[in-house]
Amino acid sequence: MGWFTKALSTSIGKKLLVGLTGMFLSIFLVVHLYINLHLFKNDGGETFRAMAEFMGTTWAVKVLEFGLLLGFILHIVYSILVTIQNKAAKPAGYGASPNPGTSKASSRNMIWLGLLLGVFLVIHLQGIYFKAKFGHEAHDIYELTLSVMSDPAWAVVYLISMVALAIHLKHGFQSAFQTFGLNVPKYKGMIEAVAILFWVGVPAAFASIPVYFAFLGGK
Amino acid sequence: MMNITLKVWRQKNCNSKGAFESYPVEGVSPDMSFLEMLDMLNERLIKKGIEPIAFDHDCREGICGTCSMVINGRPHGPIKGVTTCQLHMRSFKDGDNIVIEPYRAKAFPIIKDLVVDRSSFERIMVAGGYVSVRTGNAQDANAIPIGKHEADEAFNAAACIGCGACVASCKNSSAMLFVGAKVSQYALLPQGKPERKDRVLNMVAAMDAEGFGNCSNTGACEATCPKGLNLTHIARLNREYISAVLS
Amino acid sequence: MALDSKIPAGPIETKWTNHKFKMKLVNPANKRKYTVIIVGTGLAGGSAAASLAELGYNVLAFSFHESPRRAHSIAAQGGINAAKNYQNDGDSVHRLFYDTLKGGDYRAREANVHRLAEVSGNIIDQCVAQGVPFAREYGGLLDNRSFGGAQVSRTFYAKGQTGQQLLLGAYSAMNKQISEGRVQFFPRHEMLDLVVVDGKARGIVTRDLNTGEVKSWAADAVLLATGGYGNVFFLSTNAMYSNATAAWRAHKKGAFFANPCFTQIHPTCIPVSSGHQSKLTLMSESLRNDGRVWVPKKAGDNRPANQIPEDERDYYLERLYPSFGNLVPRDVASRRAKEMCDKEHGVGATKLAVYLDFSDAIKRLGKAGVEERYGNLFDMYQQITGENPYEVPMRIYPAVHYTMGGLWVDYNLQSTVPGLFVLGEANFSDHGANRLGASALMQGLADGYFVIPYTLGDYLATKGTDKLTTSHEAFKKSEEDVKAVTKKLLAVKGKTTVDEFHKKLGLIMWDYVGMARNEAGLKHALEEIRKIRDEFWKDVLVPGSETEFNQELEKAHRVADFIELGELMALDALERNESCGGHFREEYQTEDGEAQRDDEKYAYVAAWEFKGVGEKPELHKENLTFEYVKPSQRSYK
Repeated sequence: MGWFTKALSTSIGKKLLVGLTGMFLSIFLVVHLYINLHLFKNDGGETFRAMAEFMGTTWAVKVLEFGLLLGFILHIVYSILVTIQNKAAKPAGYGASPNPGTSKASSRNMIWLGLLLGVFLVIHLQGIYFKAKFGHEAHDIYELTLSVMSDPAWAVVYLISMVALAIHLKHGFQSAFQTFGLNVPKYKGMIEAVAILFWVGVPAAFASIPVYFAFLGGK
Repeated sequence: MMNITLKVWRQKNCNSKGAFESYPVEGVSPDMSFLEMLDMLNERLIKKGIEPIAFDHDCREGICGTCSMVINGRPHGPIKGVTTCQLHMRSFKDGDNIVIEPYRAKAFPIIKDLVVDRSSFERIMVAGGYVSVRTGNAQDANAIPIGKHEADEAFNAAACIGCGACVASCKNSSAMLFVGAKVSQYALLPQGKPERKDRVLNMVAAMDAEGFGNCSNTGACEATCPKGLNLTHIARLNREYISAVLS
Repeated sequence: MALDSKIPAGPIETKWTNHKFKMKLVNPANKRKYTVIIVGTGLAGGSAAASLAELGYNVLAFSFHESPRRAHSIAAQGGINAAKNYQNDGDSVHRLFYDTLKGGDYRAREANVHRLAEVSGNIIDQCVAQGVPFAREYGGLLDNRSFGGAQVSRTFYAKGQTGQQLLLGAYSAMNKQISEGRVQFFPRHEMLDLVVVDGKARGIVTRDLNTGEVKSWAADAVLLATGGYGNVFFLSTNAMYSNATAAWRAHKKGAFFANPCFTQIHPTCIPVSSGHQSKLTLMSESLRNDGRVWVPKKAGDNRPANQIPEDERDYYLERLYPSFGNLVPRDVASRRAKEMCDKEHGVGATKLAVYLDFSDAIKRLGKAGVEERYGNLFDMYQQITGENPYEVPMRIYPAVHYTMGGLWVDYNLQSTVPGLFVLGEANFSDHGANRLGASALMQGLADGYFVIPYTLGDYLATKGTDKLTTSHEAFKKSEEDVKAVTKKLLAVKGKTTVDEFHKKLGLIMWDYVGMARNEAGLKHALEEIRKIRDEFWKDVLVPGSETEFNQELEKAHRVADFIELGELMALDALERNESCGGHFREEYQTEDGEAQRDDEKYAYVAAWEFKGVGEKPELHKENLTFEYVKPSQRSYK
């Protein structure tokens, strides 16, 4: 395994790790979204509860949950590490502000968007996941989720976070393909199309839930 | 004729602290190159007993890669695909304030004023920027046909002039476009294939050792490269790296 | 001292082969006992460094640049000649030999030129093996184009950046040897003296341009590959740092300087726009493949090019030279352009320009076709002039570009100082009085890859090893001398900047020792140059100190040498009472205005021996004999 850790310790290796974990987290987002969208199903939460039950009890999912935790940790730790190194590589900045148009703001601010999402993650876990899983009182996961989603204050937090997520994905999703070396002219158009679908579609779909329940009077 | 004001970074040597100085420059012709304008200012400074501004330049035809300054926040100035030496004053207007600074990167320490030390690039090249072929051992040049598309793409990669604008414009001072260009050139040509694994691993290791930052795919390098090198070379570098570590 | 060119005996086709066999070899185990200094790491120096290190010698390579990749070889655009005959158009080693000798107006050595033609094919093989991305056809084979002075397509190219790609090839080969520890490279080190011990070149003294440190380096042989001296003219297509200091200081230590007046004026350069101009930009000669040169038939015609009808245009090269047309050699094309402007047919604001028109080529190839061939050159032209050459014809005018003269070397590339070898543009050897396009790259690489590795071995094997170090008094003396000159330059504290002196010298050189020369003008130039030299040492203003990065001090050293060299150029031009190639004496021309040689009196190499600043140098003659190509009046009609 020496070669493996060595391969991941170089500048390209670190970026690969950030990209790979980012992609893994993106897949998780899709699964999460798939379950969440069942809140819209008008069955009194039956499907949603069944899915939550499946996620909470199946051993394979539990293993994946550890993977997810590891994914988050690696993604965050390595991103911070890379950022520190990058700052060190540019000890002094420029007196004139860099000319506009040479790079996109989303690409320059990944770390701040990421940290914002990290804060959201903690709030989010504390507000729903920990309560449902480790809370003293027994919570019905469906009722708990609905109550959070219907609270306008919570909804605003969710909406801001989804905007941050969208911008983070806007750069991150495509950037990962570049890091994997797949961004060749032939696939470029395809990757761009999927990327737009992803960074707009996924956060928008997530955001539609609090919008519907908190502001549009959905039940 | 135009009158402009320059704000120039002055720094005596690598150990001293630098600062900006302002210099009004009168009687600038729009037909002058940017460096000729600096020549003119320097002549005036010398006569006034002020030390002239040190800046790197040589061929003044945009090919040697020596000129290196950052003009109004952008390496080689405002025009895409043009080196500082090919930039002309007609790209500016009367009354302009122009900020001139050295490249900023840990791996490019300042020697004096606008002159930086880019020997870190040399050490990366020594680590693997070659095909090991001894003089006199080559077979006939037409023995291996190379498809025009591969040859052209290899040429596009080889067009890098090693000026370091990519590093200067990158917020991380990453040298990935520079390294990607050389790795790309040899990866595309049959002559470069036998050593491709060692080459990419050694060059990446050398790049890291010099203190260049990591690529975060912002694309600033591509936007400021005077020779139009693009991110596909970085993608190819990543691909070469992945296949080198996995196989 | 009699000049011995050491040309091997035997038929010309086998001279080099036999010579290679007869030369002594250095045993592989002994090679590492020898140290070789190489000054200048462009095409010639870089390729020599790589090749010699591969053989096992210890190489110390020096450049005033920060990297070998910055050398001015990088700016060569059009291509490199080789007698490959890939196009099946009748090319051969003999034809390249013949074309080069004729193109040089019969002022080069037959044996040298033949060797150059012989190894030309190997150069292409070598470069392709290094990964140099030459232009290719769709079938994957190498593409060629034609160049001035030849009727075959033998020029290999990489868009308009051939020099860059070849230099990067040599640079990469050198890097491989640096990685193996066989080459030590010293960037930003400028050679300021040659050290001669017991009559042999044994080392150099350098100044570290970053710190100002003056230091000695000892070796068994010294190779100079320091390029040409075109910057004597101030305005030239050479890079701003290109200089003759290493060669000139070696000349002062005993190396004869040959044919200094043979300078090449390149016909296709962007015209001077005004007095602030710092250098001139060349547009590759390859443009003459598809561009047509013309001027208005009517003198003083001020209409814009597009308003001048076809029948009022004079395509003078096509008219005067029907068989070569726009592809006549550089000296001919330059002189004709000057003649047209002298007769008031010049165009543009300064009237010192002729048109190079691509409208026919655009009709024939389409804009994309022209862009594919010359895109980068067109972009460069537009950037500099602000005009779009796809829409209006380019304006071009001749400019100083290359110097055929240089330090005298024998067939082994050894100068008159034993152990001092000179390669590439810095020597005088292969181009006679005029260099053909795409031959400079060929010569630099031939010297570095295929000649010096053999001939240096012969010298070292004969010389044997010894233990000379820089503690020898000759090194101390040289160091003192270098420091003294530096101190002297800084001490003048006059009122005139180095550039002002350089511009003044350049104007004199261009007006009187440029494209056309005559006796009165040359005598005037000699007087003026001497005046400039005296003034320089009384009134030069060099700011700063010697112990720091000081670009003005660097320039001052170089300009001091340019002034002395300029004087020698004028003297050589005055002494050569004939016209040949790039040396055009107005008194000696044919009825058609072509250069008229005097083979009876001037079929020799003029090698000048330095006798002291301000002293008349001594002329030594190496007679040229032609056994295989009979000199005739060059005709490109």
